[in-house]
Amino acid sequence: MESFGLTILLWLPLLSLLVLLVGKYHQPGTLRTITIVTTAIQLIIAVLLFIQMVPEYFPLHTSDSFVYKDFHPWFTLPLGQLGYLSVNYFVAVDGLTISLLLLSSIVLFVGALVSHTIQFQEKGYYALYLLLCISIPGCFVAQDLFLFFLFFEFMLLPMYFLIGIWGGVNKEYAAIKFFIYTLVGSLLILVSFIILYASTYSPTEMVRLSGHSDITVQSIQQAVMDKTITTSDMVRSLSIQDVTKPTNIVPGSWLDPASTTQWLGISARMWVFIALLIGFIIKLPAIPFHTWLPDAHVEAPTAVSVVLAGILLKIGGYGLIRIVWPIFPVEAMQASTVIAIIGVVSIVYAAYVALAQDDLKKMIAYSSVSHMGFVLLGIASGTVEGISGAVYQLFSHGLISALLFILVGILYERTHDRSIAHYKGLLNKMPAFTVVVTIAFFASLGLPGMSGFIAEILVLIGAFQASQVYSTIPIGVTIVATIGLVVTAGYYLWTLQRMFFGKFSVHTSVDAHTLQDLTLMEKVVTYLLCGLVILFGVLPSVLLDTIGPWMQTWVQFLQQSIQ
Amino acid sequence: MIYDVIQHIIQSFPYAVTEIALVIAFLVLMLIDMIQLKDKALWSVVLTVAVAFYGAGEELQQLFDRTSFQEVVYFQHLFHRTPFTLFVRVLILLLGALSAVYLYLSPMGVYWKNRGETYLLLLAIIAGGLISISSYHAMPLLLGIELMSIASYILVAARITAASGEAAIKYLLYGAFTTAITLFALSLLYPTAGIHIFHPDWATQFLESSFPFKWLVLTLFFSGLLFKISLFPFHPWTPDVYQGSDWSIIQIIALLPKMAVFPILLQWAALFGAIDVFVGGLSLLVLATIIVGNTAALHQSNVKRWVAWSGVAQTGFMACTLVMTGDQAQLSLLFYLIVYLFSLPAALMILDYFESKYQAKEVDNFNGLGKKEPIGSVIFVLSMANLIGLPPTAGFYSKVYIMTTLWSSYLEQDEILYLILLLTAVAATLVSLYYYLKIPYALFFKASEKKTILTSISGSTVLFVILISILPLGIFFQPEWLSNWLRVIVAFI
Repeated sequence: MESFGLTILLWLPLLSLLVLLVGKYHQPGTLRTITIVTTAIQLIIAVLLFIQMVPEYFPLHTSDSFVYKDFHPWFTLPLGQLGYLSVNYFVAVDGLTISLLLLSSIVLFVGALVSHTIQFQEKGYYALYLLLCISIPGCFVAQDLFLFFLFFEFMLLPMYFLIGIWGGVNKEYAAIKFFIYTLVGSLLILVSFIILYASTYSPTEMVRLSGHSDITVQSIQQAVMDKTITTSDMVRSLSIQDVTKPTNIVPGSWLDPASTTQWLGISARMWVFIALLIGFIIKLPAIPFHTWLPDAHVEAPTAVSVVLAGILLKIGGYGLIRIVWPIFPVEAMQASTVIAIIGVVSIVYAAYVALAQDDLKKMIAYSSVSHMGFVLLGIASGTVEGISGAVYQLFSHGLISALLFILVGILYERTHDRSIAHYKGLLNKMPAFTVVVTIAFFASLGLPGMSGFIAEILVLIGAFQASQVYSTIPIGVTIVATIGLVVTAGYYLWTLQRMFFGKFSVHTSVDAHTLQDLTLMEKVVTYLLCGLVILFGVLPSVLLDTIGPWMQTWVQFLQQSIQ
Repeated sequence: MIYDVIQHIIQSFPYAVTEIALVIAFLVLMLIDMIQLKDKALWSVVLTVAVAFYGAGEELQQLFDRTSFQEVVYFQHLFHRTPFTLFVRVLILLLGALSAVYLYLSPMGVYWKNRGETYLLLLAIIAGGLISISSYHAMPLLLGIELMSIASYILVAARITAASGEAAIKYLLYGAFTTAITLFALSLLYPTAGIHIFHPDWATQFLESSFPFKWLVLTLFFSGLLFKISLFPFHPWTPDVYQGSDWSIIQIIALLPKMAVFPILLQWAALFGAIDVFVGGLSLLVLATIIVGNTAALHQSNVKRWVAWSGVAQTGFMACTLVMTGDQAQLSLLFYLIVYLFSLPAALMILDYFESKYQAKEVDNFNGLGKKEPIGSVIFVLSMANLIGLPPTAGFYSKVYIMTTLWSSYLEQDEILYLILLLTAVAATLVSLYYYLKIPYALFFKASEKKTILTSISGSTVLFVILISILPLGIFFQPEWLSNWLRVIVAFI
């Protein structure tokens, strides 16, 4: 029964969705209230799960390392030569998941709060939003890649509609671009999963499905080694526990480390690693696959931007940490220099591009790309500090970017103008707004005492140590990353200077009378997020104590795998 | 001697009880058509559905009977019965019943549902399907195919408008031509290998026979069958015929012939599957079908032509299984056929409804209708997802089955052809995303045009569409139900 909370958290929005679709609501705001209540309950459950979680040092991706487990057999599909595909409904939580589950609950709750800007077709909007409330947490808790992919796809489709229907002027273009990019990404992921399926088998599933007491995992492994079990009789599973175990790779298959299959001088394992990497990097996103992000953000309504930047990007990072690195530790180590360089180029290049933006929302979108570069760098380092920093960055950037996009939304709602050059001296007109923006900007540029600082300092420490531990990241690369920090400070401070300080004046196209300060509702939302950003900046142990052990087991797992 | 023959024929009748029931229903329907009845359409539909269900029940009873496990050859070696043919007959009958219900509910099909000959011709098509799938000899096969074809020509022509006349004459010319080719090929086959084409020894006789151009002759013989499923190069009639027909007719000529002809080809593929010439030749046709169907579907703006070309593309997909051997390939085909054919009517019904209400004949006419018709539009998106092969629909497993089978065939035989087919299939699936999502895109994203409302939506249309959509969704969550059944059936091919 310990999984009860998780099940409610995951499927409660489905109930709300039914309520929403069946009933007729004429009272304005009813639909929003339903969504807010649903996400609030999800948030409460997520916080309770987080508090109850006891951090423990179990080896990565073993049965013990998961808590709140919920396991139900789903189906077994015979696929001829390729054996049997066994798919289970398996959701569970571990150290990595709990942080992102908490983040997604916060961001979805906040997103529901700021959804009041949606004026037409509210039913459709909230139905899609509730669908996101199932699929996003679902992505994080799914421990079977089939289930993961299902949730993953169900996250992209509502997003496509949310941007395409409720977006700004160029919504069609942005929605299609988003769709094509993510589609290519998910196809690469799907193809990799299929190859993964064909190259691994699951002794635990074979034991479970055979039902004989004399068949054990060891006897099956022995039989596979002796080739007394043919490939067409193997039960294969896409359970994360199974596919990340090196012993579960079918001898002689493509992903067998001993296999000599090569295309263009690159081993099959490396190809699949690259495909998966690109698939998740598109979601992250990092240079050169980032161009969908600014367009999608600029066109998306505020709440959708919040969800997009706050959690959707995190699934890219989550996928890399959870799936790509544990399955391909050796390849990840070999490629770590290149990946770190991609990360650093993202950090620096996106920061410079942000510096050149005139649209405030586009600037923040590019700053997201820049910050996600730190995640890539942290993961590539393969050190406890690096990975902790990467996960902390996922969490902290989720909060900060949600806050930033809400602030841009507040300004846009008043004047319908996001051009930085059109405003001067906003401090005089909107003092509370300016204070919150300042906090958010400082948090984003990594001021000590805010959550972004902890994340970035951990990543940099990890990256500097990397060459001694697991991967090979040249010191020079990491030093370049620090340039990104300087540029980031540059564009934020410059924007602050141009928009908020000095004598008040606005461009002629902006109506100065619309510039009201924050309303009560806006204050509640933004102060809440500011509080969280500062809380996690001052007391990083709140999060790190719970997720820290997982990070260590992750690094241990990688180190054992490469020996 | 003659006594034995007569005895044999008399003993054969129980196997043909469904065909006899169809003939009786045909006669009764003719009578009904002559009498001035108030609810003639309802009576005709009820009778058609009743006889189809009766037949399906009879066949199912035989299927569950243990004695059906061995092959029975009846009517002087003209027909045979195996669990596989029984299963396909059940499917044809169920699909026929579905077509009849569609005819009755079709919003554009008022003309058709009140005319008695529609049901007569539908019964003829069903009977043709049953005869051809049960045939053991080339003659009944040809007769069955012709029965289907001729009834289809008349159905297409029966509207008597310029468009339907044009469509029908194209259909007839193409069909008659391929039939002539098939007959010519048959006359060449007759003296050499004989025409008991489903006899187990026939394939070896054919392979051992030394007459020249025998593979060319076999290809010619196939043309009549390939015409019915519109496989390249026998496909060009499809868009024109669809464009000139109403949706009620399209659903009949698009679904029933495929249900009958694919299983026949499957039996052939089981005989010739290991022969390089056969596999190579057919693979090229399949490859061409996939490429032609998908590229042509990309450019269509007319909805009916788009349906036709996407149908050609789907045919190419299904035909991939014909070049492989083994239970898995056969299972993939049956799975695909069942999911595809039993879920397509929902999509056609929605298009039908949009045409009747908004005169939506071009893709542009669908602009912004998603907001006015949310239920129909959402189900339409779902059925498009099913045709593309996206979760959460059974179409996902259809594609997974075909692609994994191609992959394992490639691994097993190391034949580069399978890899090419697989890559083409993957690329085609990607391309198909574009054209299948064209109408959903117009429905939800384009600004709407002002349109007058002509008719009102009927609850039964919605119900029909929803009921059919349950199948692909249900199978997605429990694919084992269907695949376990099919596994038993394909063992008897």
